[in-house]
Amino acid sequence: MKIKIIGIILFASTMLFSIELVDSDRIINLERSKLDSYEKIEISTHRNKDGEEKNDIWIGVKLADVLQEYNITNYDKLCFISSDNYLVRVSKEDVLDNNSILALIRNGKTFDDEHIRLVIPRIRDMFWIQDISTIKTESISDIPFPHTIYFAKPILLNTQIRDELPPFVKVSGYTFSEIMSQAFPFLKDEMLIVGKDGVKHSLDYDKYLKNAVLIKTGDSFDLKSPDMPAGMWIKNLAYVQIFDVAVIFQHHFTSLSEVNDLLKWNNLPEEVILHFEKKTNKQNSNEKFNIKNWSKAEWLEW
Amino acid sequence: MVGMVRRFSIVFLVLFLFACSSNNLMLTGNIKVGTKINNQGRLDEILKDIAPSAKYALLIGLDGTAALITSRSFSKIHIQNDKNEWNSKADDLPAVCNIRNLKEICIYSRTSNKDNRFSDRLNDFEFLGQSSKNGYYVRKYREISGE
Repeated sequence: MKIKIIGIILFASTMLFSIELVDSDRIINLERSKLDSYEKIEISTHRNKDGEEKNDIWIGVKLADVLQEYNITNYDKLCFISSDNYLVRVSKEDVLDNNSILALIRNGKTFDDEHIRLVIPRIRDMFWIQDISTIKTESISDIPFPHTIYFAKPILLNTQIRDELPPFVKVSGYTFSEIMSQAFPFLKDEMLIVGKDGVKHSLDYDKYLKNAVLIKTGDSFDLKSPDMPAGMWIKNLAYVQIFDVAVIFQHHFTSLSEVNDLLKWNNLPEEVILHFEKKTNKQNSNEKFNIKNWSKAEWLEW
Repeated sequence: MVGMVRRFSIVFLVLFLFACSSNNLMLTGNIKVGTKINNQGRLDEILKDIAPSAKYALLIGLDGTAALITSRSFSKIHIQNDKNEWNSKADDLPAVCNIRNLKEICIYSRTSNKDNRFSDRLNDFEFLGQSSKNGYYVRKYREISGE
């Protein structure tokens, strides 16, 4: 009897499986049978993974064909999310490449429905996300200079460091929310998280960051969250932004111009107003952070 | 006869009060409870005296559409009353700021975490996306119960 029930559940889950394709206000459910109905192409890839040579032959459906059928054209990037919440973003140019596929078969072995994988030979395999559950279209809007920028150092100095940050062990640091709530008016919805190496994620606070921690590693902090796959954790957190407010971990940068190089703001102002404990001062935005005024400022606005 | 006149007066007074109240636009959030406005114009001018430290405003339409704007945008947005309907109009901001039939403007100004009625109200909304135009940020929301 138990076996029958398990069988029915497994059969039902197979029947229920679909990839959610989200475009503006519409949601399309891509079932496996639908994907199987597209023309298949075969591609081969060669990778060097951890010193090991990997040659694979993939069979799948062209992403371009799927998007064309549903007339999905108005986007700049596609965001792919896996069933364990891993997330990657791929540019339109890479999506529409003739060899970009949703792989259904690898080296002759057919993937189970829930293990369908993105394969784009022209980009690094860290973007070849497995177990795809959702594909969302995204548009890039220009990124204006934030209205207010807090420097992380004064906030960190005013907050008691913790020796326990469950579920992580033998670490010290802060919870993400206790630091960020001192700068941001609300912790909600989409946040931009950037590492010193330029890795960027736009993440939903409730889904990924509510339980995140900042783990001290030397002078820097690594952002880890039990709600994020380890591959998405950010080493050397450098910048966080919600809406028009940001927090800079300024020791990763020599000046605002260097932050600008990383974030590509389209309107870096010439002058900003630095706020200290009891006074304010107008300052040229190209100056170095190690100049006395900058090193003592708590936050700035323009 | 006197009774009838009195009854008429009461009905007239009730109708007058109703007309007045329906003509006012409700302000909520981190602001004195019960605040309403009945003047048109630029949002920064409207808020100058009643919420001078406002940093954000959530413009909420009767259909549940809402736009979150920053104080930098207040001078770019006009609050208008046309035929008893409050509308917001902004040419220099993303189109989402043009909301017909406003029912409420929810104000954020710095306050203690305990008393953050703005955040409580924002939790009634689903985030739809962020856009910017001319360097001004706007977030679009939809009221969860306002389908």
